[in-house]
Amino acid sequence: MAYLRCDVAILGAGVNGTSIAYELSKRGKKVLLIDKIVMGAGASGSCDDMILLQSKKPGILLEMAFKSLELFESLKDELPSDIEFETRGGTILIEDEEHLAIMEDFVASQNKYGLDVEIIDRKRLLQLQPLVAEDIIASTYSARDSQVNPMLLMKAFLLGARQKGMELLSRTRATSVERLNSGWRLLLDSGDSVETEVVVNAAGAWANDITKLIGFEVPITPRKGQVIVTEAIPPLGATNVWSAQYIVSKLKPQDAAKNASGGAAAQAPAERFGLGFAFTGTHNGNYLIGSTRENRGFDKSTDPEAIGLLSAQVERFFPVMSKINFIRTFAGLRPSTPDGYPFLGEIPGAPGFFIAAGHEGDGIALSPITALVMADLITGKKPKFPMETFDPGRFGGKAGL
Amino acid sequence: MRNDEKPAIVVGAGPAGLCAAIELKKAGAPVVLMDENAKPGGQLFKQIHKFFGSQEHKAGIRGFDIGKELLAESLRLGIDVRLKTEVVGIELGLKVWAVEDRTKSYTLDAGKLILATGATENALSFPGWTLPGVMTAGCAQTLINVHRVLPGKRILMVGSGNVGVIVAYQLMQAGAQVAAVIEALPRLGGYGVHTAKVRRAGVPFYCSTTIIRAEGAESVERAVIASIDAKFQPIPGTEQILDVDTICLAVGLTPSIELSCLAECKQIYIPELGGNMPAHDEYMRSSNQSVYVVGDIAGVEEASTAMEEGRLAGIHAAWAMGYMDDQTMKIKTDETRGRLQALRQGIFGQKRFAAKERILAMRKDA
Repeated sequence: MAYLRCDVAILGAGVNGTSIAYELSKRGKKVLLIDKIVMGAGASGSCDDMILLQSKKPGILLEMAFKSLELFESLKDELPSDIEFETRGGTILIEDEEHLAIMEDFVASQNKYGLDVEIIDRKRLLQLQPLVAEDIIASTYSARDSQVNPMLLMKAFLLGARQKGMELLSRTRATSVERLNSGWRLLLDSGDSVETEVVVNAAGAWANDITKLIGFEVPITPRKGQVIVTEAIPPLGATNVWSAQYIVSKLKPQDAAKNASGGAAAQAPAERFGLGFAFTGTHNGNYLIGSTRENRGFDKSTDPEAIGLLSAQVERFFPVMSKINFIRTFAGLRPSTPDGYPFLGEIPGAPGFFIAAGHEGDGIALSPITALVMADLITGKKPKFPMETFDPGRFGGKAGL
Repeated sequence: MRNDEKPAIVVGAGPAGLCAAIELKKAGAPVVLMDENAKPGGQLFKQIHKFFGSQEHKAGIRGFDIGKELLAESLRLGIDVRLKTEVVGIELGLKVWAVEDRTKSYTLDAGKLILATGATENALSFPGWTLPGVMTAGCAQTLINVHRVLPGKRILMVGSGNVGVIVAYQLMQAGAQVAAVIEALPRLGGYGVHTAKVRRAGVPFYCSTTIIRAEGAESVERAVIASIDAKFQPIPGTEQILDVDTICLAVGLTPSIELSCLAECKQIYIPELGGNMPAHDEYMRSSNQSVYVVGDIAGVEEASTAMEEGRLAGIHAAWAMGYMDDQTMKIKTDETRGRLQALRQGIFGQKRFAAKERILAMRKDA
């Protein structure tokens, strides 16, 4: 039984927990990072490697993604170890006229927000992706879409924070929380207790388990994404690839809500699994083929039907992939919210108790900016972005301590 | 009472899996035997040496002949053997997800599941370890005994356990020269009879010795070895250069436990049997009562013990599925366990016997 003291205790060592730990350590805070398993055991360690601008709805998330990308460009030199950051550009494949029309509107609205993205015809697409299927009529192209290795990114944040005095407790969970006159006391299942000024809940899909400890419910639910890993192969093309279908499904959360509210059996399999196409080559040459968006609770298994759909889909867009072996499949639980925005801020009625969770598929891409705004809020600085959209109290409720 | 017609699915058609499938089929239970390779038999077909033990353990018979016998028996019984079939997933409940010939994917409900997935050879990393010419001893054995290809002319064998000395001897039989057998521990690890044959042929053995690096432009041309101290650190000044073109690594095996993890079998750590492995009870059942683990996955031993473990699980699974009465099951499992015990007697079996007893005790505690 040890009594630990710190300025900030962060629960959850995913990409947000580690990035916030890094930023706060840089600002001189004594940080204790606690994970119930190990670094990256949740969604941050079971995702792909993309930093996508094109997929973001024009609005505050796109603005934050811009800033995040800028931050990545400096973090890659500032962090103590390599994060395999690279800007390859991205293409969203368009299969038919209907999707083309939707994407033209989408691209136009993104252009207004200052995102450098355009629609390119098949001829130009072939220069970027010579092996794309014959019936793909067009594509979007943005030179700015980038990628980063999530495991190396978390490791680099962790190393950087450690160099500035952060400590990490793995395989430890908080079992109860007490409010003190100033700050909080966490009781840990190891028998130790922590006294801290500030708590940050960065537990991703498991964030509600933490807020429940202070009597607050946060509507974050796990959304499963299944991904295939191929053997290492030479690069197929220059860019990372998605399909317009994926973006269309991301733009319309009502489809996902339909998915959640039963009636699943009646839906077509692709719809039932929330199938979208995301295709990216890693530094090692392994390709990642994703992904599904499913509401299956905390079940992290992969299943033959979904993997079959993903496999058929990659062959549909890149017929050459029928010759490539899959070596592994995995699933991650993305923390999703009812309105598609994360919760970033202080829990109502619980001063000093913060949350930074609910980024669904944008956690990696937004981690640098998330760290910045959270560190601003915690240290009493005004963030550069309006934070109302991300207010943890926007669905009502108050901590019931 | 037979629960239903779902077959017992056996994964891995090596000695353990073949014996499990044979016992199930003999009892009349439906059984499907899957293996990722093009041929069944596991590692038996590269084992050209004679087996130890008593008569009922096929002592004096060579590994590949045992393999042929088991195959003939499985053919005679008409077992549904599915080759080039990789099991890539297990759904609790119980369903197996298989990929056939790397093209066709399907799932199959299982009454019981018997995992006989074997073990994987350990590697050792040192400067130059990725040069062509560095390989595991099992790889060299497959090349000479199955494909009849000599991997090189002058060999350094790293590791003096049974695999090391048996493969060293077989490489000599195949026409290679063995420059040395080195061993990191202060004493030799293999059975005397195998070790002595290699030593009588004039091969030097170096204990407390390790490989420092492999050298060569395009492939292995030399190996640098050195003595090590009690903390396994190289002692400066003791380096020796051996002119070899092949370096074989015989540094132990690790149970191939992936499928048992998917089946949520409780894992335990038993270093003397290869590290992490699924726990099992006296019928080879894992903590998941529908899943059995047999052979090297349940602790690295030998083909002879793997076969008996396979039989034990096959008999018990047939009983659990309603294809054998209580008394027959009891008599047959007692007999099989008696033979298993006998195989683990004597100074060579002692350590394994004690380790296996520890596994059973752990299961009882749990």
